Amino acid sequence: MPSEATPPFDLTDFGCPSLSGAATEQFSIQGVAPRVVLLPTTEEEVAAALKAASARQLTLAPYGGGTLQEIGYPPEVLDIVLSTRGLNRIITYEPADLTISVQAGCTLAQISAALAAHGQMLPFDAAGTDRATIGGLVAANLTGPRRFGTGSYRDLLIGVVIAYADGTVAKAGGQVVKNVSGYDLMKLHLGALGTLGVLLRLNFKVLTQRPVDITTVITGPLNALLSLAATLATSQLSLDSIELLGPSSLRDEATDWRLAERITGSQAGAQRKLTDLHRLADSHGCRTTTLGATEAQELWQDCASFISPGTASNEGVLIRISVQPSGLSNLVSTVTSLAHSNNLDCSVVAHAGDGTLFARLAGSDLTAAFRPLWESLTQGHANALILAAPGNLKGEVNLWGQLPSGFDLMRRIKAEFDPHRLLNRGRFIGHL
Amino acid sequence: MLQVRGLLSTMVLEESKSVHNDLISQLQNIVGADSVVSHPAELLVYEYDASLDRHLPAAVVLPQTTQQVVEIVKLANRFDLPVVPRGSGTGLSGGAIAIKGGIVIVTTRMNHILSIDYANRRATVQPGVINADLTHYTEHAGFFYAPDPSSQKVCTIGGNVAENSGGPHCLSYGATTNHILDLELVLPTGDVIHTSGADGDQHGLDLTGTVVGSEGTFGIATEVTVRLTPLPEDTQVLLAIFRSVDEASNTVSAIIGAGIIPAALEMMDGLCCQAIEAAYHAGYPPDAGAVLLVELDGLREAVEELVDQVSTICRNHGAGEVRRARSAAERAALWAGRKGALGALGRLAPNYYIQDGVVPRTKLPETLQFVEQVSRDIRLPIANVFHAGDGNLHPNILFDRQDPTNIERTLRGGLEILRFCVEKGGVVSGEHGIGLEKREHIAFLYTTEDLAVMARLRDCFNPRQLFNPDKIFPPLRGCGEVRDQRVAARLAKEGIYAV
Repeated sequence: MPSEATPPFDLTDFGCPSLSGAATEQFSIQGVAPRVVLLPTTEEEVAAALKAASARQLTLAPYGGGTLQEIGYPPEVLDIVLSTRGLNRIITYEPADLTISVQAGCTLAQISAALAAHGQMLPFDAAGTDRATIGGLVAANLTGPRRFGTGSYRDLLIGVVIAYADGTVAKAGGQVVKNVSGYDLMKLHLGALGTLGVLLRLNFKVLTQRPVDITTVITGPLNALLSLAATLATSQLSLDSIELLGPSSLRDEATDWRLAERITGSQAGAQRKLTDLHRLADSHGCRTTTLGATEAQELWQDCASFISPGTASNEGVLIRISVQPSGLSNLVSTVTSLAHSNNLDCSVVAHAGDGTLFARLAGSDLTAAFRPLWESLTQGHANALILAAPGNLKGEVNLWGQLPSGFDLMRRIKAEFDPHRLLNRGRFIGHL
Repeated sequence: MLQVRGLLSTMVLEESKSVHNDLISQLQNIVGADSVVSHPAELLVYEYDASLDRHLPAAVVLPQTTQQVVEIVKLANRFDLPVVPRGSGTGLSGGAIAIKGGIVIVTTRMNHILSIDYANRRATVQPGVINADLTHYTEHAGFFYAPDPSSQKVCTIGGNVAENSGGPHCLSYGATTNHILDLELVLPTGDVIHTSGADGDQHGLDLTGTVVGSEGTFGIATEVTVRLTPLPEDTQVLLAIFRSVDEASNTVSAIIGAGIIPAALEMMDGLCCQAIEAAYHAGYPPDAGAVLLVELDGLREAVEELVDQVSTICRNHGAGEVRRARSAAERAALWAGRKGALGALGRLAPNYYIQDGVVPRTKLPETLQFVEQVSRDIRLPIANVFHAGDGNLHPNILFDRQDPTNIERTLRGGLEILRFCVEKGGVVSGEHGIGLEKREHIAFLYTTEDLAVMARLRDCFNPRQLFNPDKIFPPLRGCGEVRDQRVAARLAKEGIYAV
C-alpha cells in the first residue's frame, strides 16, 4: 500500500545510514512500506534525523525488532521508519547497585545475557527476545505472566532519555531506585507506542535470579481453577505467575483448562510454597503436576507467544480485556459464549492474578462474525483492546473499544509533544 | 522577596476587599460557612507545612465531596486565583504552601474509606484518609497498605499520591506509585476524569502513573483506588550494631550486592541512636557508631534463611552484635524509635534541616564520608537516619536558628551534600519532593531542556498554572539574585520552623 504523496527529499539530509527502494519493504508496518529507512547508530543521529524530518513535516515510525508492530492501527502516512537497532549499547551496568542503563535498540536477549552473567534478570515475558528491543517492549507495555509477582516495565523502569518529535533530547528519572525529582515521564512514554517521542535510553532496576524456579500445572474444573486462582492471588505465597490456560491455547494442545504457576525463591521458601500449593489445589479438587525445566520453559514461552500480536496468524484476531480479578470468571464465559454464538474458534490465556484475559479468535467469516462480538464486549467492558487483527477488520472497528475519560487530556499531550502528528500518525488510541 | 510577597497579598486583601468578600461568600455557598477559613489569625495555621517556607493563603476551604471540589476549582478559575491542594501538611518540601496566595483546598474532611475489596486486593478512599488508618482498617482481614512514610500516623493518602511518598518498606514493596490503581482527578479546568478506570489496566496513556508524584500541579485527587497487599506470614527485625558509619554503609552495599532485598534496611548513626534512646528507650545502643535496622518478611522458612544470611553479612562487615527482636513488642519499639527519630533530634539541637538525596547504593560509603566532611567544614553536627537500602539519605543538619551564622552554614552544607549526590549519579530527592524547597536544586540534575519538557507536560494539565504555582521548577532569576542568600536572609528575619 503506497504512502500518501509528500514532497521529495534528499536522503543525505538525515545524516545517517539509510535504505531506500525495495529494501524498505522489510520494514513495512502492517502492510505500509516507508519511503526510507534510517539506520542511526548514535543518539545524536536519531535527534538529528527527527529534527530533519520535523523540518520537512515527514511522518516517522520508530522501529525496534518489529515484533510488536501489529499493535494499533496501520500508519495513516509513513515516510520514514527509524530503526533503533543501531542503538545497541549497554551504557552502564553495576551489578552491586542492581541497576542497568541500556540503549533502546538492545534486544531483551542481549540484556538478559549480560544480567545472567551476574545472576540477575529483568522479569519481562516477551516473544522473540532475540529480536524484540527493550525500547519497543516499553513502548508497547504488553505485560506477561510474571507481572503479577515480580512487576513489569512500569515497576522497574527508573529513568529514560527521549528524543522528541522536533529533535529535542531530554531525560527524566535517573539511575537510582527511588526518585521523586521532577515528573515521572517514564510512565508517560510507557505504552505510548512511540507516539510522543523516540526512546533512546532506558534505566531499570534489576532483580536477582532466585535459586529455585519451579513451574506447576493444575488441572480441574474451570470454576475450581478460578476459585483456586483467587485464593492464591490473595495468599501470602507471593507466586510469580498465576496463569489460566484455556483448552488448546498452547502448542502442547492440551484440551483441559489449566492453571500454571511460577514459583521462585530459596530452596526452603520455594518448597514451602509448593507444599501449600498442593494442599490448596487438593482442597479445590484439583490435581497438581510439577513440570521439568524444559517443559516449563516451553510453557512460558508459549504463553508469551500467545499474548504477542506479532505471532497472531494472519487470519486471526487477538484481543485483551482487563477486569478486576473477581470478574474473570464472568469474562471467560462471556467471551467463550460470544465466540460460540458467532461461530468463531476461541482460545484464551489469562493473567488470573491481575484479571487480564487474552483471546484469539478465528473463523471462516472472521470480519462479519467478529464485529457483533466486539460490539457486545466493548459495551460491557471499558478496557477491551484489539492487539492484532486482519487489515480489513482494523479499518472497521475501534481497536481500543472505548475511549477513557482522560482521552481529551491524552489528545492535549499528543498535540503538545507532536503537534504535526509526525510520530506513528494515527496508530494509537483514538487515532492520535 | 518575602516582603514583596507579603505586600502583594496585603494589597490583594485590602485593596480588593470587596472581591475578597465576594470570594469568601461564594466559597461558603459551596461548602458552608463552617468549612471556609478566612480570618487572618486562623489562616496562620495553613501558612506552613513541615518545610522551611511559609506563606498565607487568601482562603482555606475544607470540602467533603468531589462536586464541591469541582465548584471550588471553577470558582478559582473565575477569580484567577491559585489553588493549592493540601492534606495534613506534613510535607517536607513546601508542596502545600500557598506561595502565591490563593485558595488552599484541604482534604482532611474527605476522610471516608469508600470501599474495600479484599478479593481484588484494593480499596477506594477519599484523599483525606490517614495512611496508617487504612492499614489498621484492613489488617484484621490479613491485608495492609504498603507505603509507610514516617509521618503515616497523620499524613493523608492524597498527600502521598501528590508526593509519591516513600517510607522504609518501599525498599521491597515499592513507593506510592506502585500501589495506586486509579484516581478520580479534578483537573485545573474543573473537569473530572478517572486516570485508569475501575478495571485497572491503562487504556491509552498511563495517566495514573503520570499524575502520581506531580505535587499537586496536575490537579487534585478526590478518590484514590489503592492496592492492598497481603500481610506477610512472618516478620523479623534485626538490629546490627557497628563501630562506625563506614562499617554500616559497607554492610548495606554488601547486603544489596548479595541480591538480598529486605523489607526495610535503615541506618541510624551514633548521634541518632543517642537521641532516639534518650527519647524512647527503644533499645538502641547510645554508644554505637551506627546501627542497621533490618526487617525481613515473607514465609517463615524463607525469613529464617534470610535472618541467617543477613546476620552473617553484618558480622563479616564488623557488626559487634546482631540483635533479633524477640517479640512483636520489641519490633514495635525498634520501629517506634526509627519513625520517631526526627522528633528525637529535638533533644540535640533546637532545629534541624533534613536532606533527601539519593545515591546508587555502592556509593553510600563515600557519600557518608563526604557528609562527615561537610559536618566538619560547616562546624555543625549532622545526624543520619535514612533508608539505606534504597540509597536514600536523610542527613539532618543540626543548628540553632537564633544564630544567624548557623543558617548560612546549614544551607551551604545541604547544598554541598545534594551536589555530591548528583555527582555520584544520584538525585536530589528520593521521597520528599521538590516543592519550593528544592526547586533550585533540581537544576543540578536536569538541564533546561529536561525541565522544559516537564513544564510542557504540566501545561497540558494545568495550562493557566493556577494549580500549585511556583513549585518544582527553578524560579526565574532576576538581577543576579542568589537564591540561597535570599533564603538565608529570609530565614534569619523570620526564624525557621522547628519541624
